[in-house]
Amino acid sequence: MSPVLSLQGVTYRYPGADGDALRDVSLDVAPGEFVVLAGLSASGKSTVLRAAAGLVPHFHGGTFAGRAVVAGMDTREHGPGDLAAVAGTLFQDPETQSVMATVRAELAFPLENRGWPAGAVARGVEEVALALGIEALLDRPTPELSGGELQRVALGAALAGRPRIVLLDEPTSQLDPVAGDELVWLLRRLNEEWGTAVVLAEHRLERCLAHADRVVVLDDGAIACDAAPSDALAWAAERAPALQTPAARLFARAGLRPPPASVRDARATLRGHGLIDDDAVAVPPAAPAAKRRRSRDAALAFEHAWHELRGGRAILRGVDLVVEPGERVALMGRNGAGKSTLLRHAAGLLAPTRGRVRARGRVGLLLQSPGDYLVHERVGDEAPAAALAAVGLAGVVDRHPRDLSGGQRQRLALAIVMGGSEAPACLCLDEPTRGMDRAVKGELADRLHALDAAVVVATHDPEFAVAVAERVVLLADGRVIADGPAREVLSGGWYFATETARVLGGLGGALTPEEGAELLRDKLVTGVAP
Amino acid sequence: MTWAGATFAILLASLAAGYAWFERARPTARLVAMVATMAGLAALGRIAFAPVPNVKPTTDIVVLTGFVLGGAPGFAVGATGALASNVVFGQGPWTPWQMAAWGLAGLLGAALGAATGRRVGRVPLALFCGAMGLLFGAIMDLSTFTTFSGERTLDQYLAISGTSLPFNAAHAIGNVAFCLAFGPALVRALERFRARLHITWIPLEVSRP
Repeated sequence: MSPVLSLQGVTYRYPGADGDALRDVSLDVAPGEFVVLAGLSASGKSTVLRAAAGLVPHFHGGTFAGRAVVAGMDTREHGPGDLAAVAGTLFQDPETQSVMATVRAELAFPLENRGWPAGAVARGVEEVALALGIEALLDRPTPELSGGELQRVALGAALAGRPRIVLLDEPTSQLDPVAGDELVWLLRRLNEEWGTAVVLAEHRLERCLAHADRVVVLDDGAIACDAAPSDALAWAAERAPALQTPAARLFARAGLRPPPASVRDARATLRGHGLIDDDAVAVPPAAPAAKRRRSRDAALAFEHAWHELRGGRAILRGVDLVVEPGERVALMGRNGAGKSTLLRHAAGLLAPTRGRVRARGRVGLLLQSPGDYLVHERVGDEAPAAALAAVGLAGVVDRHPRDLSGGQRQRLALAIVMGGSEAPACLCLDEPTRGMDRAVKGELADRLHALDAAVVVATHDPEFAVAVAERVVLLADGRVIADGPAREVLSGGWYFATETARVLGGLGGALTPEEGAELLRDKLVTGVAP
Repeated sequence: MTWAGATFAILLASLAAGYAWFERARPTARLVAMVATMAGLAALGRIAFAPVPNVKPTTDIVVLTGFVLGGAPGFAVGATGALASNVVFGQGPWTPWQMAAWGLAGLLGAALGAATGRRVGRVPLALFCGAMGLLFGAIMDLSTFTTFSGERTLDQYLAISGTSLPFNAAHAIGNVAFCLAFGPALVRALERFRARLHITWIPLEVSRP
């Protein structure tokens, strides 16, 4: 069978760039294959997807050598418009991908453009909405959706025409752990039932590795590794430790083999060594009750804050939350739980309809789309030099902010928020790890640790939450349902838990691969059999 | 044939020729979207400054679009911007005149860009925009001249020009001020877009299977 996507010796340079973004990339994707693209920030993952969608070079311009063939169409002769009929795409910023005013119109748009009759469009919209679980959103206006909801709607629009191949750039970066897992499952189902080929760029490999047929690792625009998931993990263990999943790091540190591609594999191996016991049903610890804290000296205090929309829907329902000066808090919860709304209240962008929100001094807010913060034409003009150096962007002061990679733009926006005249008393970040690889995430965590200001981070990434915060607040339906030390909140449960905690089943409250490995080594040495 | 009839025939022919040029160049969807955006911006600039007679950023936007993107897009932005803004200000016999005058401003902006290789400083660029404002005024004076009912002599034209001089001067000074304020920034933004319009395909090796 001829490949559905074939890149042949593709070398590409963006207009005005100093170096090639892709260097002699050759890649064949067979129909029905599930390929994961891995690599650090700015390694060329997005560019590969853009080349497969025809956007490189038809939209971005630049210099293109080699050949990209999608379902028999050579991008030298066919533009993105032709390719859209066979290739569905979902890119990093779903905000820029939605064009219509309501979800229903958004899902219908690609089908209408293909000239489907009205009945077929209505049916196509219904089916894709059911498949993605967004049928309740159909009549909502797109601007009112939360980031994660919008991401699912954009995916729905990409899948509506049953494309032969879907190209996804970090589709789960804004989804809560439940929705993220569901989305990957859904892609796997499409892939198995319809033979849709999937090419997925992702930083959080632990989420999609179990479903992948193949992992392609990019390094500085060239393919560094193209192998089955377990082989790719073994390769990463030696050559690119930053790409390892937490479970693989846990195994590497504990001296266990082979590197597990999924939590299931990892548990099977541990069971084989007699290190975990499935009979001992781990009872999730009772959610720690929120301690009463005094709000008088707090950096940020919510006092029974409500936020109700006109028409009666409440986003926040009596939130009590006190953040002490210098404290670092991770805010977790499913999509639409009210995390972003809470942060907007903290920064004074929204006022509670009931209750009070108080802050001591300036509250810096870094929203989900860093592009909104960029107004100048030089990175160096956006923020003071010291702030740029603090986020590791001193080397790119002369670049245009819009030419930076997603992760770099995020760091630039952070420098802008931090670099104001008055140092913020509290810094709020909404999903700051989108588009970041593990190394950059670690750097961001270190950077936040070095701050004097209190930090509140809304995140779906439990690993990042553990790295950044000592306290985790779980939000559900606008209510605080758990508030306590990270170790208590994130070691129990299944979804709101780190991968290490999931592999170990909450054993010993270990959250990071390092802690888990120590635990396992002790057990291996003393030979404690359950 | 009356003066008015003859001039309208010439105007319509030149507008048709300008749009035909833009169409025949087979602009990509991206360029069409850009032209629509800039025409919308030009119209919006005119509407936003409606309370101030003749001080509008419209001419600058048209000239600078032509300056960076070339003659056909420059003309299309000018003519379309005039037509679109008159949906708000009112259509009339002046519409084709304004379309032609702004279309010409876009064309001349393109000529300046081509002649200088787009290396023009902030102040000369602003002066050029000011001159385009005076040219626009002169053309609109001509429209009054051809449609009014008196005798058509040079003295009459000069009399019309004299009456409109304060307005045309305000237009020109406004153009200079606007261009000094945002001209180079708009040029850089458009140039970034222009860079993306250009695709270099490295030819495939013939030996490749």
